[in-house]
Amino acid sequence: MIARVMGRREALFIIRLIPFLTLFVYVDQAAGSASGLAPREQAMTLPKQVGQWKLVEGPRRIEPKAIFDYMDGGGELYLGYRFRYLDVFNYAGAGDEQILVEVYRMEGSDDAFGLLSLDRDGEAIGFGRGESGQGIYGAGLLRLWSGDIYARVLAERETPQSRQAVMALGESVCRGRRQTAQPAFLKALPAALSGFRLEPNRVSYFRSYLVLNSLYFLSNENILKLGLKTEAAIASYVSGSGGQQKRARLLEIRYESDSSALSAYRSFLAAYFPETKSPKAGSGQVAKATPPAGKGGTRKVEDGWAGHRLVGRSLVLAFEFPSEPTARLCLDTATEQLQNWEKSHE
Amino acid sequence: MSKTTVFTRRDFLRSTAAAATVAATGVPDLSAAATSSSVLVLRDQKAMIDDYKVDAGVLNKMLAETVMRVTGEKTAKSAWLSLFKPTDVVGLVATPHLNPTHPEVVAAVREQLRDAGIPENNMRDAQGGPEKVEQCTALISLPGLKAHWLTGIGTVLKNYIMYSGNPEAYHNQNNVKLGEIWNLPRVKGKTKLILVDALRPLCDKGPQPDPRYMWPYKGLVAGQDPVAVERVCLKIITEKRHAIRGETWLLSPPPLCVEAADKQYHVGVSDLQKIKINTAGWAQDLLL
Repeated sequence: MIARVMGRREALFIIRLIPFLTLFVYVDQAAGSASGLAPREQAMTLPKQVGQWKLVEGPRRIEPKAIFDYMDGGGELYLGYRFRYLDVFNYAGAGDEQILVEVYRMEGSDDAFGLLSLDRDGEAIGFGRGESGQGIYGAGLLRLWSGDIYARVLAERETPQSRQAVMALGESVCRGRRQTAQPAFLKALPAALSGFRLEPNRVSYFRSYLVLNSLYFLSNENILKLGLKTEAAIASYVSGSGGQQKRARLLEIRYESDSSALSAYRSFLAAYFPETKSPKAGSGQVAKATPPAGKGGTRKVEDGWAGHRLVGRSLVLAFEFPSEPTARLCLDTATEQLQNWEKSHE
Repeated sequence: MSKTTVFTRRDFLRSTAAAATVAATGVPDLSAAATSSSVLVLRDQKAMIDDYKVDAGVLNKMLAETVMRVTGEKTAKSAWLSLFKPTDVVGLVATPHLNPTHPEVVAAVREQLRDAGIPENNMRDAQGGPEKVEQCTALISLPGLKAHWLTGIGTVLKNYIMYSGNPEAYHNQNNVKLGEIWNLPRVKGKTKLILVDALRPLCDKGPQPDPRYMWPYKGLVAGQDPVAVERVCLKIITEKRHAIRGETWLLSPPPLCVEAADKQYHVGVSDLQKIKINTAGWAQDLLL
């Protein structure tokens, strides 16, 4: 059902030439001057017709305050990133089969990339040789990232024709745009950790604890004090192969300041290791509630060994490692990578 | 942050391990509220044309059989009339958008109610705020089966969130309290049938539709215990996720609201071992 894309991160975004798509799209364009749009910024221009699909509604502007009216229960996802507005276009084809185009305009490219990074299963698509945008397609849904834009192009029913139309609309969204780099913070993630190798397709960038929980449940409360001013990445690492595979996770968070990182660290330790409130001297497994920066600790918990370390304004957290040494080595490797990245970044 | 409400991954793993131990040893879980429930999963391979459009004729037969099997009645009419009186004001509570309940399901229920003798003007579209449920004497919950990125599953329990009058109070970390809504005086005891549209469920990334995770299950899941029906739905979604990835792929966040609806709010049974699952019809890829 799903064409799963495996391999290096670079291989994820296979460059595909889609030159025929320009012929598939009617030249007449839907201008973004429809009533109801914020006057300060016009909506993107998309074709009035793509193949047999005609634009029947839109662009319709959805501001943040109205996103729950548009998608009750789904809006938190976008508000968990730095979301500015959404433009919605509806196309109707034969038999009233629709194609929905949602263009989410974010504050920055990192936020748009973050939305795409939440799920990378599917066929990788490059627009403009990958220099205009990158997308992932599966079963009628194209999700793409192009600079500060994240877009969903959804065919109600997948057919060869609807796929062609979806790709053409993706091309239109990306046309004339210049793709930007992935979030710099991702470079703080090591490619390998104490016998574990990074799974490039399972690296996600986010800011919200709700998004974290949808990727990896940690707590029903915001114990890491995540928010729009933080940036975070969670990555899956794997060791072994076949039926002997073992997965572990690395979570790195960068806060606004050293003090906010320390505050979050304390909150995490108190919530996640409540037994450490009264540490037993000499146990060798008990992390102090507020260890000195750079020290951190490890602890055996219900699903393996967990590790934690405060590194300046960042937190490094490790989960599901098979032993204390592997968890500690993970922290050491991740800390070194993070510090090297901090130096090069600043 | 209220420390009394913090529930971590570790807590979840401990509770899961405890449940597994109970299952393995047969030691009864004395904290459980209800004793047993039954849920029907009925499927028909021909329910959807080209795996996409609902075949209304097939669906109508499925619905009649479902309501007869749930009630133990011999005809659809007697089955419906065992649940509702002609004087009842019957609220139909469908999911209105983002993977909505198929309109054909709602239409079929209306038609069969009418055929059974429930006057059309006694039927209400009852999805919405407290005033919607207050005007009804009986309810049919008609959610679509879907995973939900905030609550794990967003099907039966979440279908009544608007009845709270304060849906925000059940969002984010507070979704664990969704069972509470079913005990509100304006809601409690009114739901005579839970009928889940599992024709084309969504097993990840809900509520926004993502066809990568939608499949033609072609089923109806029905019962009178909302927690038990939700639990069976959860099983279907979870098994589909494992099948897609070829490895364990648990819902995240875990659907804490399901067990809480049982243990904390006593709305129904969440323990699969205490739920009798009756199946009928198409058995391929049943996922149960």
